[in-house]
Amino acid sequence: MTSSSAPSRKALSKIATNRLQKELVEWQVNPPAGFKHKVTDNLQRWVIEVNGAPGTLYANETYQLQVDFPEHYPMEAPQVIFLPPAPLHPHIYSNGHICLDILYDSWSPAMTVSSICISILSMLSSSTAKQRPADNDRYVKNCRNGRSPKETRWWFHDDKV
Amino acid sequence: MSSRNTHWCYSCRRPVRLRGRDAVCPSCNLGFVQELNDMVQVSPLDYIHMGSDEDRGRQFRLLDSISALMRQRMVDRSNGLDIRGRSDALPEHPGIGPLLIFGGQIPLRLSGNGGFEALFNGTPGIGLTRNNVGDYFIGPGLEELFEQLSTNDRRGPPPASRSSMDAMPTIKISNRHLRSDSHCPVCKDKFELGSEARQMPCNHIYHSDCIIPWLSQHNSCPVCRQELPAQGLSSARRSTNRSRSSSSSSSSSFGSNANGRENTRESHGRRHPLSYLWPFRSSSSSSNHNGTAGTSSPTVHENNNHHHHHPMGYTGWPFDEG
Repeated sequence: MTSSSAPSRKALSKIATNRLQKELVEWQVNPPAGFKHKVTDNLQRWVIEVNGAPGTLYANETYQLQVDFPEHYPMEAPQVIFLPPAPLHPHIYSNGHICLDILYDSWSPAMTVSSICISILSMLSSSTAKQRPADNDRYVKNCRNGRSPKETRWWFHDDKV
Repeated sequence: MSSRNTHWCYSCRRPVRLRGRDAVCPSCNLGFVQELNDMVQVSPLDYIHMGSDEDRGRQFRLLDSISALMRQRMVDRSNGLDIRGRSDALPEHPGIGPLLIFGGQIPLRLSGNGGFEALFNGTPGIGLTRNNVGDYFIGPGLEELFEQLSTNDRRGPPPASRSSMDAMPTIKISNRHLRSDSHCPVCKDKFELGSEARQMPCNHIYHSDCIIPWLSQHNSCPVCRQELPAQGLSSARRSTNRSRSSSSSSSSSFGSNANGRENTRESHGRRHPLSYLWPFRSSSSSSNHNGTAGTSSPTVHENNNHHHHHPMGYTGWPFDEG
């Protein structure tokens, strides 16, 4: 199952650990609105609850994001997926993979878990139709061995949604 | 009737078409075969598997380029394997295939519209064969190309040059710096008064150990995405560059910013050092273009790409032109 797979699980580097500890503290002081992180002793995998923003198609709905950090975070982006059931959204595949440029090609080490969360909520909030991407079935079928979305060569389009 | 290969024989390391219903290779009679359709289909092909009709033309042009390149190399070796005549006919006569390009043991499949197939996995050695005959070719050189095509983690902006990084000024953190940029944007540690930091042309400052590893991968300011200038500019006009500073605040320039993506795209094309390997349009003259290749068959398009939206253009790639 995709959701249980992680990218090659090398332990976090010292730099990554330091940075994540800082992010964790910052999160606890100032969590992004609409998100809850159930803190565990696993710094390398965060599971975050997302509440659909009021007044949007996802209002009163709750989803879970799973964030896995690579050894060399933040030089590399974390892997971010929705745990099932993933929200119905034109850029979110039924296996939880998210088509969002900042998670892949447009990642920058100045970004944080918190800023990713805000981008994802904004992506959800701007959706005008609850539907899967047009190529959902094909994509998901090709991911069935638990491939990470980071191995996908994504093509990004307009960011209207 | 189709002459298309249906299976990969792991013993012969080439694609085969089974005879009858037995799952054995017609060449070696061993059963270590796998249906091509079942095979994992990944990387290099991601560049060319595009979902929409209009893109098949481009996909086909890449195939055309590959085959032209292979032909050229075969001719270079002049081993009596000159298949130019027949290959040139391929685009106009799609049924004549298949043409196969492969390397290594676990092939990947690329199916063109006209009985073209290409199989490779990026390991050293590329082969080419047609019609099950087995007149294939293994050659060096292409492996870098395919390795590059299949490497999936070199995305985003290309690395900054060593010289441009060396030319980046080192500054001493003053109170003025602390007022505007109190923390290093990468490690999120506080800057210490009097300590050293590196300053990008956009004025964003970082610990040297934080920014250099990033720039060595991607020439892009983590905060605003501005690039380090090409070397030469940097030393002579370093001071004037500061006037180009785009934004000193980090708030708005992030994320799904269209400009950022535009840059990524351009640089993506620019940095392909192996583009020269492509034979371009010169020998793939067969005027295939969008129409002929694009409409003949509604086949294939199975891989791990996602493309529910407009595929990216590959600016700078020769087969993008024309």
